[in-house]
Amino acid sequence: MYHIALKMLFADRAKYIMLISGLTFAALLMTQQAGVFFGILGWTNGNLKNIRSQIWVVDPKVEQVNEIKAMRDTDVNRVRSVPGVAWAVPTFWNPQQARLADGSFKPIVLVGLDNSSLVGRPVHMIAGRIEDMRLPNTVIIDDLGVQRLSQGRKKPIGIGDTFEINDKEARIVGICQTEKMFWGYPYVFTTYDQALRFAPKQRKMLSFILAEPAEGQSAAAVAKRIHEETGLGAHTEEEFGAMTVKWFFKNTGIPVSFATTIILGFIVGFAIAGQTFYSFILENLRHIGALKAMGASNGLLTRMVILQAITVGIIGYGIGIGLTVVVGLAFLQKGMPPFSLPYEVPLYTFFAILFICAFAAVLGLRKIFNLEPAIVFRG
Amino acid sequence: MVMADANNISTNGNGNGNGNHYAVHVRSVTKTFGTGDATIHALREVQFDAREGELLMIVGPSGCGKTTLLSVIAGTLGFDSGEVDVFGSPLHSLSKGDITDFRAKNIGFIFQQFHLIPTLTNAENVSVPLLINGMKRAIAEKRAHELLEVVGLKGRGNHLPSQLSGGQQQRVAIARAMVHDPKLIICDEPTSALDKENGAKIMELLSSIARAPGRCVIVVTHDPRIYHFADRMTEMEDGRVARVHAAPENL
Repeated sequence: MYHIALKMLFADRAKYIMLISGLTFAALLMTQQAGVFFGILGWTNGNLKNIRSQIWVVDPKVEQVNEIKAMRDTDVNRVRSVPGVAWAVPTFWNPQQARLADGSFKPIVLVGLDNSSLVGRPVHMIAGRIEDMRLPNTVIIDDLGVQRLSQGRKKPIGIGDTFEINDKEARIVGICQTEKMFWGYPYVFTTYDQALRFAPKQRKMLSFILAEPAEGQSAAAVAKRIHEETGLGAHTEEEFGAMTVKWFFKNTGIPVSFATTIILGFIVGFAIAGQTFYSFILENLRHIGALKAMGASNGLLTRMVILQAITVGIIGYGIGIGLTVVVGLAFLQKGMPPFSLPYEVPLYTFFAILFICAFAAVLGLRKIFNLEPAIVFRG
Repeated sequence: MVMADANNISTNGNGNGNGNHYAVHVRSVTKTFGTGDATIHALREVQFDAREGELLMIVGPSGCGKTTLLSVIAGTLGFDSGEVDVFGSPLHSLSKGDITDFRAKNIGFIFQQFHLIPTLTNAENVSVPLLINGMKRAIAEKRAHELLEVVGLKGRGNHLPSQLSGGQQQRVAIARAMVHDPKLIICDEPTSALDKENGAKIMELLSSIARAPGRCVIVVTHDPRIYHFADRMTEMEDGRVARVHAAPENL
């Protein structure tokens, strides 16, 4: 009987296409929007991905990784003196203006790494040597920087080229690859001392202290101890990431906006699929009545309807996810908008689509269960 | 003309039925629809019998309870009181699930509007009762093609119902009603959608089916053109069996 159920489903082209379209639309909207949302969330933690450290020490008022409240240089030594800290290094991080060859300005994020250890260095170098940033007035820019800072040049900016940061010449000695950050600015890496020279003078210049626990110590325990003994904010990488995400949830409309779109996708899919499937059942009610009269049990009819619902669900979901992947790959290739698809997104979308299908099936089944087979004898 | 009292049908009726056993035995069946002032008494203490080997027609004016009685006999409609035995199975004491199983195995249906599923081929439509009974698809469709040949539709198994005339569609419906070899075939106005010639052909087919041993065909109809095909005729009025005619050609 199952092939009959499928044949009945596929033969009603208009309803079948409508069902698939509704579910495809729901799956696409839910996964694509969730993908962009997670991409944006990923960008909010861009600093943590580009400057790797187990423990981040910041001013206690700092709530997230994109927020700077400078500390005193002496705070580095206070952190180093906390038991369980293997090492701690100063880091500068601040948005600056870069002056390009054609005289225009572009915002950049200037990162100053500890002179000797270069802790927090870029993970992936595309060209040049990381150690060369110790040379006078040198920087390493990222791949986004190559795009942005090439304005006014005949060929893309590269090793050996220069630009200005606050009227001071910076010579490029390397190109690295980074994860994009929330503000969308390119990263410019240099040493801590050179960063202080590039940046305008302020009373306090230390942005972060990067630290590592001694062998056998957990990062969480050491971070807690740093906070207790220095009064500074000390967070593990994971904690700081979670704080950042929480901050964006609390202080921006981004999650609500995306959640609204995702919920709308669900509701529209729900309405289209539910309504169409219900009308499909209604239109076939006399045939279903005939099947019931001929001895088809409610159990058999339930299995047939569930098969129909699951079939449209899987096809709609499959097309929706396929389109999401295509759109996502296009986004990633272009670099905008951000896109990230953790496996949970398609998984939960699958359950959402199943829920829609189950709802649609239940609507139809209610009608079937209440159907008196004697209906077939009425006119 | 032999006219039997409604309560003594079994003793007076002697149409062309081949068997002496009851196929259907209905005793004091009552069925109402609605409640209070809106109550409709569809069946009032109905007594009714049909024998093995006969084609029995139920006739009467609209709203007299013919279709309700047919639905009760077919096990597609419950009733308020009374007893219904179909080929020895007491429907009044079976559960809904058991009645469904009983219908699947023992009853074939021919509907006024055919109720063929338009998206299935004729053979697939005919195979439905076999599939409901759990037969494998390939075997069921082979048997369906054989049955279509029996009803004169050889080679039309892979066509859709819409590619057939009304009379041919009703033949497909007859093949579907017979394919699982049921004991009782229930027909609701089988000729109302057909012209005289096709109606007569369908009735000849049903008459021959009714002659088979251990089988019974019950036909509800308004169509006087086919009365002469009946072995006996039960006339209903106002929810009751009013008369049973053993020689319906004189009705």
